[in-house]
Amino acid sequence: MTGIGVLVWLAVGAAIGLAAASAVALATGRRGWQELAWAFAAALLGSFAWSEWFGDFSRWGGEVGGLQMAPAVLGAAIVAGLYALGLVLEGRGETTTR
Amino acid sequence: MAERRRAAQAVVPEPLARAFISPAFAWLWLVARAYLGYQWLEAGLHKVSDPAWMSGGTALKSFWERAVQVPALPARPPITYDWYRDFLQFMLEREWYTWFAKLVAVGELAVGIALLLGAFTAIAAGAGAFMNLNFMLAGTASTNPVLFTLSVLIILAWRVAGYWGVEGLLRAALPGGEPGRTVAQALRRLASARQPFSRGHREVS
Repeated sequence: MTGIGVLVWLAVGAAIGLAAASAVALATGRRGWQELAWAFAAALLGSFAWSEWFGDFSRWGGEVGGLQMAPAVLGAAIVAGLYALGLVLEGRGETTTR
Repeated sequence: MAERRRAAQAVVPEPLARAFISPAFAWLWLVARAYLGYQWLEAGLHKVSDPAWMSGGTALKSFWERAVQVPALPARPPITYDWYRDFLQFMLEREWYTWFAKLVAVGELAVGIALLLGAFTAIAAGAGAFMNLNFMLAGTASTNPVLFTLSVLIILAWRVAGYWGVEGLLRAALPGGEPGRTVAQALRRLASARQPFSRGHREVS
């Protein structure tokens, strides 16, 4: 990724991470904002993973500075969504320590 | 029990421990699994479609032959440990590469599929780590140190590594499985009114 690609990647991650944290905050009342950093991390990693590792198989939506746009947005949305879902499940006392 | 939990928390800080046991961090292991699984799948597919691996094992034979060579000083041999060189030489002399090559090719493919699906995740990661270890002992670094480290982390996170995968589905579906773990129920909760939220980790038992 070049400079503009990195900037778009950060913007995509921040926007989708914020959306995921907002969804959790709406659903649970308060925890979402405490976990904002993790929401950003999940969105950024999901975006990077799909665009960089699997971008060759999904070159739709164009490319900006080496970032495959559609895979970047979808990857961020899927991983941030799984994070939000997992956080809600954790709130129910769901752990795997039994 | 509480004492045991306190002792565990004293050794492992809570945020770090949470990453290895909580569904909230299962996304991290899904991404790690996807990367690792894809690497193994790609390597396995390449080998199973190559006659040098699947018919006669000549590819593995040349790899072993290169690995067991001991060059004149000051050059260093690819293998550091004599016992491992003897082990490869033993297999080379008995022409075991004819069947061992197929085992490696199919094993890599199986590890890749299992990791991508999230089925037998820790066992697959363990098998992958064992192959990485053998490649490294035979003198090949390549991507093996990174793949080995990822495998070890996935093994440590065995409780949640397959959560977003076949293991997670089975946990909810099997008799005696954990209700409330299904995606549909979690979505219903998300869609429902605001509810008090607490971490509520259960006791380790």
